[in-house]
Amino acid sequence: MSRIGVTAKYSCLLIVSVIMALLGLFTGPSNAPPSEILKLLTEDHSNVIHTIVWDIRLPRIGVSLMAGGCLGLAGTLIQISTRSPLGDPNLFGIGGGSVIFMALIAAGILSAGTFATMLGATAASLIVSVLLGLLVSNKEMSPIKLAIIGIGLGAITIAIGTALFAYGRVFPSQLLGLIGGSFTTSNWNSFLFCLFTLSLCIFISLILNNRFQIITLGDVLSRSLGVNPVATRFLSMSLVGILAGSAVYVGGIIGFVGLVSPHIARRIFGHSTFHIIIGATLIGSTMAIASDQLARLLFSPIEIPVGLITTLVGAPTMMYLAFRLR
Amino acid sequence: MNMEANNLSLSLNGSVILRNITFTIPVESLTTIIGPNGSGKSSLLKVFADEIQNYTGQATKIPVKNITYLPQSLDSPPFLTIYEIVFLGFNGQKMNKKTKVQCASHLMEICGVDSISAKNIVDVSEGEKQRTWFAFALAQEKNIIMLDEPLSNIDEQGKKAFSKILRGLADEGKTVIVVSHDGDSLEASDHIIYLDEGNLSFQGPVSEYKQFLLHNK
Repeated sequence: MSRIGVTAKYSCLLIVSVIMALLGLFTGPSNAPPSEILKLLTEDHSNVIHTIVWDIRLPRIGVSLMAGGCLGLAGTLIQISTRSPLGDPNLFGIGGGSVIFMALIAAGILSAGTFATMLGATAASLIVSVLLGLLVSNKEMSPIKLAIIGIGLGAITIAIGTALFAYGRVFPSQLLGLIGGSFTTSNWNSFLFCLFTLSLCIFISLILNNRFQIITLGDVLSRSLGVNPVATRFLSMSLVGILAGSAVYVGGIIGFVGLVSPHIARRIFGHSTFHIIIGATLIGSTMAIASDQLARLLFSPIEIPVGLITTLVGAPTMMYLAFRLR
Repeated sequence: MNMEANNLSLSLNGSVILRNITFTIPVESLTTIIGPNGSGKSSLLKVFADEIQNYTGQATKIPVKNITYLPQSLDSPPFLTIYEIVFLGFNGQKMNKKTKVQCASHLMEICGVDSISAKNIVDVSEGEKQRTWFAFALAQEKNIIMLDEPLSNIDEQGKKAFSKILRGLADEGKTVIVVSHDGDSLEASDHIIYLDEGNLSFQGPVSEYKQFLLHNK
């Protein structure tokens, strides 16, 4: 693959993201004219439109880009670790760990500040992902078996989360935001948090990309090439936990972005793990921000959960992949 | 250092796999381990590669990272092309990327997979998969090579060509051990080990093995 080709492909993805970001900036229920919004970005004014742009629209754009990126990368890493093309962090219950923690807080069973909630949500997902990683290390576990167990685990975590919401008599829209996925509550703190976890995980993934490629050969061949498969998988699954946990903290369960992004990345960038890691992250971001524009504008002023849009695209893709599976 | 087994016995899940066997595999030679399915051939390789530990008796153990080892019926990695698999065989070797790329193309040509190098391994035939794994094994620079049924799905002509390559490796001074239920690489071998239901029925040079076959028919 020529360098110019790769650059062109990355540029295309960035352009789509920028168009979606502009849509996110200039459209919405408040009907503020674009000229007014542009003026606000350069000058400082303290009025309603200023608040809408700086405190609602811009952080939402940032958060959707980051959360999508987290999911795209998490999907890539979970598919590598489980050797299953059907891997998805939210489908396999890793995001669900975070949902349970957030539900415990929403139901008033736990109380925590913003920072503690971020860490707790991430840690809860980390626990599920490491457990799943240990399961993969079991020799009897075929990729298909693992996918089925993962989906079961996902259903259980969502059921527990929902039960906790019911127990706490929490306002249903909050439940919908968490289970259906939503970026309505985005703020600059969640953006910075996601920016940090995503940058950290991309950095580690790119350093280890060769090892990640080797573990897809299977455990014996990995060892024979001098790579410890169990330790490498533990590491990549930990990254999956951190990424999925932070994505759920900022946007709830947004299904199938993690599943679809690596497959699109493989189609566009070929099979090089290095480019798939970057490509799937960008595709995840593009998918999330584009889906969020649909979620906001399709039935404006009523918003639908962004996870519904991604599921409408992702679920048929998964079925198609399952058909092609041997 | 020769590879040896001394009174080696092995049971897995209650069934006896290897029964008190003793033999020596000479270094820098090509040895074929022959025997019907279920005779314990694959388990023997796993003992040598330190992938099975719960045996009794003594056996030479070599950490698997010092062996070029191809287990039987490998699961195809879901996301790798044939070229990438062969390329990964060079992992950890001190040569620049350009040389690796050239060597990989050369190996793919030798093994007859150069025309399908960009295909995902999931999408090619069983024979082509084996050819790919063979190229992957050749890419590795190790002195001990253990291959479990590497040629079972390859056509007769291919079997002959690959046996010649294995012969060449032994002549270069590598210790090559091939497991094969129908003796694919028999003619090219120096040494034969025949296993039957976990018992060692024969060990020795190829010429003696032919005599052994005559007497046992």
